[in-house]
Amino acid sequence: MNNEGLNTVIHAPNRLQICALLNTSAELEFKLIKEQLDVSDSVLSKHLKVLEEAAYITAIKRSEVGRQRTWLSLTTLGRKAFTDHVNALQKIVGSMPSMN
Amino acid sequence: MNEQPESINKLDAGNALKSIVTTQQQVTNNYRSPLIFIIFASLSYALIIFSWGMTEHDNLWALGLYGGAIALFFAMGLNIYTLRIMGIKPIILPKTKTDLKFHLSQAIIFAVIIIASREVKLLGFEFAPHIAALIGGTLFGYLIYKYPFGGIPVKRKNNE
Repeated sequence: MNNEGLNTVIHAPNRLQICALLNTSAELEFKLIKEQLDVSDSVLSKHLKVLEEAAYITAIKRSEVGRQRTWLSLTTLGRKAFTDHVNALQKIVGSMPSMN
Repeated sequence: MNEQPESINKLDAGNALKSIVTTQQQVTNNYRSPLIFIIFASLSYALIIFSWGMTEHDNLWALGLYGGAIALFFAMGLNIYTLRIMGIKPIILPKTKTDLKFHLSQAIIFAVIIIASREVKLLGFEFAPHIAALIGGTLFGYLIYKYPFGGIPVKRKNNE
């Protein structure tokens, strides 16, 4: 089976969902991702750290309206890796790629 | 870092794709702007197109143009602010080639609609601004509804 383009960093279920969420927008807040994935802070932080170490995401802490918020976004490399991963999955399934 | 997973069969790949599509659909559905906002923004945009088509030197449709532009600016600004409060920053500038193609095609389509609303009327078809406003407003509303954060979600295929 041709697994070209598949990426173990992204393929783990929670990290795949994190990348899928981040791919829909420019930046998402930590709390929103946590709620969507229904995981604890520590579990989410662990997955984010793996993605951050691979340079697929960036995390920026900003103080807004008196509270600290952590904003996460996919890097250019991260968007490309996610797109390649989705294309590879679609290739395995047998459909034409829908992302470029 | 781009290690290859050991082996992924068709079923695993299909499940992974389903998970991506479901995740993106959930966040879109949970945080999409209210329908009343989408209708308001669409009507504002339709007003701009209609007013541009109807404006002549001896009428006041230019006021509709300014009113529509102010209403649209207000609506979109409020939408971005509300999303930000909820923890989402929408894509305004394209991030990928696909985004760029998507945004460019939208810009071209809307430019053609706006220009046609006026030019076709000048050629003698009185209802050109009406039709252009209907098409433009509906398309604008559809795009806000379908892509509320500006990103293009992964599409589900029949055989997935």
